[in-house]
Amino acid sequence: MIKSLLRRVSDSSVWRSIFRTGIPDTDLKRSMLIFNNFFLHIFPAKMKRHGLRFSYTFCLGGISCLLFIILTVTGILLMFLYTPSIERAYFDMQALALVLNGKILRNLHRWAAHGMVITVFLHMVRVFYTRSYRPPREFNWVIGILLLILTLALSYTGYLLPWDQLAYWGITVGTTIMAYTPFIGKHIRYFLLGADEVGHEALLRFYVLHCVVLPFSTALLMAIHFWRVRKDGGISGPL
Amino acid sequence: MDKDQEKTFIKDPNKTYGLMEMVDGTSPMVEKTPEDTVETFPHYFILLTICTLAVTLCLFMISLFFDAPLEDLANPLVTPNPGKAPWYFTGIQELIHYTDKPVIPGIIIPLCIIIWLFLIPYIDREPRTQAGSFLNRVFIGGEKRKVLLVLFTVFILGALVLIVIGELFRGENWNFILPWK
Ligand code: HEM
Repeated sequence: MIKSLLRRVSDSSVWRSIFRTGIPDTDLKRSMLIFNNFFLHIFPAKMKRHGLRFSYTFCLGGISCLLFIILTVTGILLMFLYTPSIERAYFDMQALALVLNGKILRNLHRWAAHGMVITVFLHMVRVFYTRSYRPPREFNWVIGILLLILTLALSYTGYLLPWDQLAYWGITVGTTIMAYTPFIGKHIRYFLLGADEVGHEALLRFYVLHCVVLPFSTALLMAIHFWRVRKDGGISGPL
Repeated sequence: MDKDQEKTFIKDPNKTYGLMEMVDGTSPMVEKTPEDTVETFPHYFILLTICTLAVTLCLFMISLFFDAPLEDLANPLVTPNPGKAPWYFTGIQELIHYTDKPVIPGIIIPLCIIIWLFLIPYIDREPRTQAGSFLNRVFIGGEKRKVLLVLFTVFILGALVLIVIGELFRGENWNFILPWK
């Protein structure tokens, strides 16, 4: 009964105009399902059984990607509610805490961000111990390190945005360390903050970096990273 | 045929033909050695779905019960003691505490670690030149990569210990405290 109904729907011309493949009951259709779908076509139609083992990848790369997607969605929602100015930023955050879903939105964004720093780092650790950076995967490791740096930069620029004591002094401490760089340290700090102190200029710069420049760079590198995983022959084999 | 396949289909130099193999399967696999593959749908999608739901659910639970901190409004005149960087940088802060030359733990060491991380795959490979094999011996420690394993493990554990100390065990004036007191 339910089965025939499903078949009726999946054989209808409207359904077929969107999803070309019917019910995937043969291996050919299962492959076509993946080829023909915009979102799924980044996956291979077949995978090595070994690469699917949870205890090999611990899904850490995938979880990092998932957290990035969650961060993008919650981040965009937060952008509707946040003003990057030192007069308003803190009070926008305070207002957000007054309603339950605003609070949860901010919590989701915050905890996912911390989580992503952890999973990306652990993913690097996994790749190291399985020695998956060996040829032909050398360059994907390099892209990975760039992604790790971008993840830290994203987290760090976001840290300033609530404009509370934690944010202000966290960024002051961090940029003071940067200023220790020989010769150009003071210039780096000035370039980043737009002034000698953390202030309105710094908030605006961090906001643009956090909401535009860094997410776009990360998304681009992630696309290359995934493309390379496939071009390098899928998940590496056992040691 | 690539190397993998030549291993499976061994060529007899006296013959112009080779014995291939009949493989049980549900899809045509021409000119390929049998490989241990499965259909992405459904095998991988089950894993993907479980993982996605589990992570999302965990994150929701955490967000329901733990609130992101929001302290007082930023005030340049009130310096908190201690002033701490975000947790992933407190390890560096902890190192800076041990020296009066902050440039070394603050800039030089992190920079060296990043460069070293970038270089790992280019040193840990079959050495082709004499210099390559020298670098391999010093930084990797041969085929078993004993040196590299030790270095990397020290790096991870070191970072972990320093971050935990810097984040949890440091109070006023960066003095040692016990977090549960
Ligand atoms: C935003 C950060 C990152 C994301 C979203 C990401 C995502 C992924 C995913 C989904 C895979 C497939 C296998 C798996 O899940 O483990 C993968 C593989 C890989 N990643 Fe990442 N990654 C990130 C950062 C890194 C970092 C920091 C490194 C190393 C320094 C790295 C190096 C690699 C390598 C070499 C592979 C191939 C592994 C293999 O074939 O076994 N990635 N990455």
